[in-house]
Amino acid sequence: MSKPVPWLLVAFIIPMVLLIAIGVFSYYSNSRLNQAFDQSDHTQEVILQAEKIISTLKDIESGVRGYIYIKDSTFLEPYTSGRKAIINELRILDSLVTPTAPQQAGIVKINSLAFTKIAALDSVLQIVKTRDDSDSLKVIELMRNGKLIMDETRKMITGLIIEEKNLQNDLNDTKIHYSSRVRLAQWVLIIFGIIFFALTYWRMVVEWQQKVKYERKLEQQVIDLEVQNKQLEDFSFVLSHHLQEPLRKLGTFTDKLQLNHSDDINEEMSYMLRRIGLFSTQISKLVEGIHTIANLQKQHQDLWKSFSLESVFEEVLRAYDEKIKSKSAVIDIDSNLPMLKGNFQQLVLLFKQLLDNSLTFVNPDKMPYIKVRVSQVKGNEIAGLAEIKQNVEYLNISLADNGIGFSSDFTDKVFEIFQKLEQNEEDEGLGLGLAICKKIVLNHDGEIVAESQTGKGTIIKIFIPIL
Amino acid sequence: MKQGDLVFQILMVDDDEDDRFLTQTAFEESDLKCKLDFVKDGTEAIDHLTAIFETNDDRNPLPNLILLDLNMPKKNGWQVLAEVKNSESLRHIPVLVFTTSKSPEHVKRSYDLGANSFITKPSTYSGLLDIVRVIGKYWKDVATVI
Repeated sequence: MSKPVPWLLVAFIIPMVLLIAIGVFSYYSNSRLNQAFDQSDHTQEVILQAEKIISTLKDIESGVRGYIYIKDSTFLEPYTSGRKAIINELRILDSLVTPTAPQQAGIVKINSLAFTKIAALDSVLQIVKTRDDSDSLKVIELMRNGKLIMDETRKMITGLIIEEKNLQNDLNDTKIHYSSRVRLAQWVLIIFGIIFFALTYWRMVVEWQQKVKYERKLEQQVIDLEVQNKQLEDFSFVLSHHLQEPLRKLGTFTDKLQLNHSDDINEEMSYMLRRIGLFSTQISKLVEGIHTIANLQKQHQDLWKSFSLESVFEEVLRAYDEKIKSKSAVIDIDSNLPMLKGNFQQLVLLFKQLLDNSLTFVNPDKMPYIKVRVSQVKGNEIAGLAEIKQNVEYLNISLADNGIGFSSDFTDKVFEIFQKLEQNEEDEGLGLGLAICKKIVLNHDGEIVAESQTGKGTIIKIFIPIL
Repeated sequence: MKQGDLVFQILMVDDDEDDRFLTQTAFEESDLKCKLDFVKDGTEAIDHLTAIFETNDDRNPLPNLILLDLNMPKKNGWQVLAEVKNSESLRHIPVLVFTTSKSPEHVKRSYDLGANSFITKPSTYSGLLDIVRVIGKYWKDVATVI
């Protein structure tokens, strides 16, 4: 099933060619058979017609004979009607045989013989009627002559009949031959039809079974994935909640010790207590960060809402108002912000994290300047994007700052969890911010890339598909 | 509390001994004229409140405020909250949820059940002192409670 098109094509072409071949063969044999039947009917007609002519001739002669003996004009009745009929019968026979057929010569002869015979009988009648002398030598002569003509005619007609009968025998052979071929074609068609239907049915059953199997497998995988996801979520909750309590108390007690017993502790002890307090706060923040990441579930697209990017930045700026003022930072946001679809809370968190980074890693010699620009790009313009996304339209949101930046060697590493490029443990960077950003962007089927140069600043580019 | 001679009574419902200790010291150090009672879980809290209501003794009145932890054995904070807010005789008492959690779902669920405030336990002692002072200042001096 790796190449379904050729398989289907073969399955279509082979039976089609076979069907056409059987059809052509069957049609040809059938028309030949019909032709033989027609020809056979024709010879039968010729034979009947020839026999009719002989019989009519006999009627005419016996009528004349009867009249000669008895002199009763009623005997002339078959003569009169026969004479009328014979002309028509001869014409029919002539028309039955095509002018080019080999029998044609015999027909012409039969024609002339019949007319000669009738002419002889006519003469006999003439003599008998007028002179009333049946013993006349003339009559005898004419009758003898008439007998010879009659014999000749009979011979000719018998010859014609034999010829036609031979033809009929040949045609019978042809009929047997072609009717067996028609039967063969029918059998082949039936057998082929049965085989083809059986094969098609078998193939359909196999495909259907495979489809059902794949579906079951997929269903099972979805269920497994849901279970795993739930377990992970539960685990992350338990982890964060149960770690958070002792950590909080560790911090509180350390603080209380410093506050309530400041007279009893010396410089060194105070330093160590400060360190303990700092670390407990850090672990607490880490746990919270992990919990945040684990809880950033991908929401189903049907639940995504449509909102303006402006409303997202409004929310972000409101939350960071104080920090922006304290750092005297300038935030320059694109005046033309589009609408987009997604999870509002997650996108707010995304830009909060990015703004937080830009406001944290500032260049001490410069006034912090953060520029946000939005444009629209096609998937194939984004480097390293999967082929399936090449034709998708993306919103490109870029966030550029003039902070301390980092070496371009680390542009991929910064998005990994717990990756800290700054070694200063007093600062708030815990190596989670960009991992959170990456997760949010992935939740929106998007891409996030970083470009940076040490000392010059960082540009974060986010690509979110336009729905 | 404008009645003068009566003391502002707070009932803290928390299974954690350290938190009870820290809160108690914080209240003492912040010099608030409050009487702090403690119960160790949800069942105890409901029993305690019902007992006070039933004896109806003026010397032992219902608390003016409840500090309620969420994660507790037997009956958790939400169950206590639901019972208090569904009880004709108890629902007037302001309930302040005081917990480690800051998850939005927990916050929402608490307010849905009728919590009067949701406070996350701080991770420093000075933070705890600040919170205790604010609670005292607001609920004892600014707001009027029964």
